[in-house]
Amino acid sequence: MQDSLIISKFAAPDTREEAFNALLAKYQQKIYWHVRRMVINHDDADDVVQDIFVKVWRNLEKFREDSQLYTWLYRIATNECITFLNKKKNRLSISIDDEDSSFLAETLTSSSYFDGDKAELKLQKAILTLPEKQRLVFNMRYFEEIKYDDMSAILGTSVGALKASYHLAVKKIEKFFETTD
Amino acid sequence: MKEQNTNKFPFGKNKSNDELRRNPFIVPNGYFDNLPNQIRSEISLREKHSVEQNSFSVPDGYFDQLTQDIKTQITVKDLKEKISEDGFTVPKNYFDTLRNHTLDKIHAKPKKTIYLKKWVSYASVACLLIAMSVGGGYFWKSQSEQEFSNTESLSKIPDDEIINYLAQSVEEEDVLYLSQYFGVDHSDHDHSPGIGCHAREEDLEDYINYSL
Repeated sequence: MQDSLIISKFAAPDTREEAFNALLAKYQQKIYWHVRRMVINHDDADDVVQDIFVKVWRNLEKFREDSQLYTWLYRIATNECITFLNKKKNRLSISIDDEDSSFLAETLTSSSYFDGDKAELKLQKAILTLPEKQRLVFNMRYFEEIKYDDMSAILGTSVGALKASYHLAVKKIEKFFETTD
Repeated sequence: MKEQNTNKFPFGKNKSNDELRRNPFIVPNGYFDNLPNQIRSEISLREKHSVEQNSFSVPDGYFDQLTQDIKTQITVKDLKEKISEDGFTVPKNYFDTLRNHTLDKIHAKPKKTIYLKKWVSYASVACLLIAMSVGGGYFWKSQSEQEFSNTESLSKIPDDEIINYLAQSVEEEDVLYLSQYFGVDHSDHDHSPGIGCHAREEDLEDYINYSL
């Protein structure tokens, strides 16, 4: 179902449920993987994704069609991830200004839903050494292959800054691979 | 002036001077009739091409960015050849159940929302207030910092104002988070010693700094 049709059907009470089902079918996996790569743990991702779609249900009527539904969903998802990670840092007594995400490394290795090989594990560990924003940009570009223009709409950052951020992230990951066994 | 016969060479001995002077080259039929039009067309085309060449431009700093982008692409291409997946998995049939769980959560009846919002909010606000008053020397570092001067002590602000501010700012999920965070079981409200009563002052301060 086209996004515009989802939005118009959602506006009508008798087709609201149908529209929301279509939205879930279309976007839930994309949003899940976007969240999962940020929060790492499956159960955390599950909670965050459900919260995201509850928010979507409550706010879709107010969605302004001058932005894409897809970028709007990703913006909500990204904000929810950041909020979740801040709360997790808080619980673990880690400063919110601490940009490194290495506190998630243990979650990665102890997770029952990670079956990556040695190289995949190493890449994830390298990604976790990046500051949060660079980690977001790297994941969105490397794994999700989101266009810079769309990323700019989602993250509210210029395309030039996103490219620079991705470049830095790639350089750091390259260095991590060179210096770590 | 008419050209003089200057033929001094030994070839063409049997030919007359007029025969030797004849142009041996030929052109296609009608060539000179079409030539002016062809020249005009060529001029027109070259002028247009020149205009088009000048109309292209690139964003400022494009070529610096391009070098960086190419280097990034090369590194990423090499990396993707070795590692293209992230290694994460989900439980079997997870995405089928996710939809149902999400819909259940949406349609679930709110549980004692008003009760929690009013009763627990005010209880936690009161505990926060007591903890902060006892501390006395702690500074207000959250969003309200913009509204209050750094030197103004919290104790000088009327309690009612603080209670009103927190009651308006604290959301239900913050209260739930607060109660979980401070490890207090709020299921038994009648016998509970009160939310936040076991909380350490640093925890309260962190909560104010990062969550409100």
